[in-house]
Amino acid sequence: MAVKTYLEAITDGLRQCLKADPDVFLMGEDIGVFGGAFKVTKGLFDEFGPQRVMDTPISEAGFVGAGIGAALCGLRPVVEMQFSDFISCCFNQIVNVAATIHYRWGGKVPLTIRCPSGGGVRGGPFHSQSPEGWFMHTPGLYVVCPATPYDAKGLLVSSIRNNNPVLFFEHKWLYRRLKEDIPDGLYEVPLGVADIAREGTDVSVIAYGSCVAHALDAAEGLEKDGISVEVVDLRTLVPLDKEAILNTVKKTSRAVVAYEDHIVAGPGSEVCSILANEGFEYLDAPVERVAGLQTPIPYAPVLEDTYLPSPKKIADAVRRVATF
Amino acid sequence: MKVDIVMPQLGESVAEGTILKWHKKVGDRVAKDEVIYEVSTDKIDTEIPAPVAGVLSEILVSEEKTVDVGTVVARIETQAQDAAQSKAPAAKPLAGKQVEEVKKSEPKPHMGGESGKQETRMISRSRGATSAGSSRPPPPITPSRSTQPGGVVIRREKTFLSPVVRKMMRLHNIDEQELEVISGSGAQGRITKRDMEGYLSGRSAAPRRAVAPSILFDRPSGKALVDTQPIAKFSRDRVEKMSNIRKKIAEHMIFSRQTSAHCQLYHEADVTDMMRYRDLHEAEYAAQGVKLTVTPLFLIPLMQAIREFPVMNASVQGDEIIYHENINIGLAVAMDKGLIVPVIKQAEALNLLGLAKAVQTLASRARENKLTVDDLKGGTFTLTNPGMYGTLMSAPIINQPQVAIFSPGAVQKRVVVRGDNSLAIRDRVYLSLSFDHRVIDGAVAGAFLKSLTQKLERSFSFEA
Repeated sequence: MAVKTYLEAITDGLRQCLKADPDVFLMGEDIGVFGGAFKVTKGLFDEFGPQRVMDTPISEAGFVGAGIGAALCGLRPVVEMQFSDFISCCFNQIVNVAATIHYRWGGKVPLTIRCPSGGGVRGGPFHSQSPEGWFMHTPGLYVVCPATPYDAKGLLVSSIRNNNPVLFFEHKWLYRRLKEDIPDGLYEVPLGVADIAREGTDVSVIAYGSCVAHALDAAEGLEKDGISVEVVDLRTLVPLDKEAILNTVKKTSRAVVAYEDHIVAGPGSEVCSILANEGFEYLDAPVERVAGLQTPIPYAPVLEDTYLPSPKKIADAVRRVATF
Repeated sequence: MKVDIVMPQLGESVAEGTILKWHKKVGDRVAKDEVIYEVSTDKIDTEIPAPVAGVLSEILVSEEKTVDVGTVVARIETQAQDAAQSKAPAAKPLAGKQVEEVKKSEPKPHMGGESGKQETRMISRSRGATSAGSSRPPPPITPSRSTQPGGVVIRREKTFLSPVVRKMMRLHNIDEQELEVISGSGAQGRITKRDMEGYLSGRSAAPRRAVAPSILFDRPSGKALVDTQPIAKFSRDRVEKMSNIRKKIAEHMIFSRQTSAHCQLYHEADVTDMMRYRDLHEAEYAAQGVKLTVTPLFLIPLMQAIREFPVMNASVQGDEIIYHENINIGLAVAMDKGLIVPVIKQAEALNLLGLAKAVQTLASRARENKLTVDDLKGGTFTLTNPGMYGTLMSAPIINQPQVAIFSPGAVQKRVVVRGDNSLAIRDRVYLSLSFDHRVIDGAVAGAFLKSLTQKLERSFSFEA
């Protein structure tokens, strides 16, 4: 066991997977010699060499396409988007090629695409996006969103070992903000299983990624006001742990869904839909969403803070729902 | 394009509004923010300004009409193009929202970008609390139902019952009438899941129906409340529909007055010894978990007097007088929702301790909304105690089908003149009796009260 930040946990996961499986290799812009824009891959080039840690040209479509090809040939590429925002450059490769190959002709695409996502770092509209909604929506892809260092490493290992294309959204705001004591060796966190980050009885907050930390902060304050909040960390959007979603609302009968992606048709909307349909008879109050605003992500700090979900926004929503 | 003018919600609990006056007529030009009509609601009367400039093209709701919040009351035709026709993306509706959000932004940015200020937080999570795993039995999820197209508007009325509450009602055979006695803890008195859980835990396993307003009183009134002529309402008057309980109480009171020939008598009793008895024995009763109030102390002499004058414990049916064998004492209890009279059955068989316990049990069940039909039926004589509010004398309305109702007032220390013309300070109480002169004459009532007075004064006097 060792204490590692969220970022270090990912580095650790990559290193261990590179060691354990010779088919695993990394591709991305500046990940090799430079060690990565965020230093996630620092030291890996020196340890594993240029065949296993490859610097690519600035062409997402190009190197994701190459990754798909490598996967089809039996390798296990882990491709990095320098910022998740650039994923739209390789959108076609992902949704039309990677996501449909198995469906169309039975091929296997064990490709993992790592995407540093999320705002709060004053990155502006092209360095702060949470685009997971596009890919949750696309059949044929797994979508993974860890909220803790432990899950970041474990879910990364599961993603790399999975034989399907997996989009791994690591939240850059969490990189150095969270640390946790995690096992040294290789371990997996199963895909499709949510975690109860905090048990409670009055209101469920269902979240993933950065919103889990915000929800836990909010819950601390709300506890003092006598509102007991249960925080459910979805961990993966595809597969979605529908059972966990329904179970928590069965217990509390009130829900707030929190996500950083834009509110309209964002991943949390699917959660709300499930509750409205299969969880209808559990509900004692309307379901609220706390999410990124329906605007491009602002650059000005005050505006960015207004755009983003926060503990206060979640707490306000919980209060409204709790007093309905 | 046409802009709908809807009835606004002018207060959290407001569900409707009445158009008082149109300031503009169809065809008039209106400027943005110009007053177009005045509205009256439960909470407030106010003027409503136009949200856009244009021409008032339709008035859909006329003056003096009341409509629900959200109803379109008029339309304004503006110069702006329809959204479908304009080329610009529909970012406009959000503009207002964005501005609103900015105003509400927190004073300190939560997600600070400066790495210098950033600190790494240590977290840990108990990994045992995973939601899945072989140890967790799959929960029974209700089968998915096809969703209906179109939205459902939730009306914020007192009777709103959420999905989970309705499910619980179905599972436990509770109908809406039964829920009227539960006060909800949700917004606007809404009954929540928690309220239902609390109510259900109080219900015994045998499916006894809790009291519904229709059976608050033994004798159904059979008469609806008389429609009087419309009363002139002033613009700030508040109209509230009677709850079912209130309606039933109102009907019963009128019915009782129209049935019995109400008459009143008042006596005064010296209860110094009774109060001293109470003081002496309070602690002993408390040790047994029973609060010794004056109510059971009144009941013993009262029932002895009733035994001497059986007509006080009777009922009238046509030209027959029915003398009841048991004395089932009704105790009037005032609750938020109204008056309720639970009954101590066969009270004559209980001693002081038994009576004190019965009084306490019924009072707490009444407060917790756990009274059942049985608790309210079969009373033969009622005691009402307005003395707790300081009332000295009263003229209560008989609880049909009984023929008398006894009302001791507040016990007060008064100066009295004794037989030897000396002065003394004594605990005194006025005893009020309303009785039905169809079967009880004044002389009988007077003799009853005199006997009761004597028993009150003497029953407790041999205690040290």
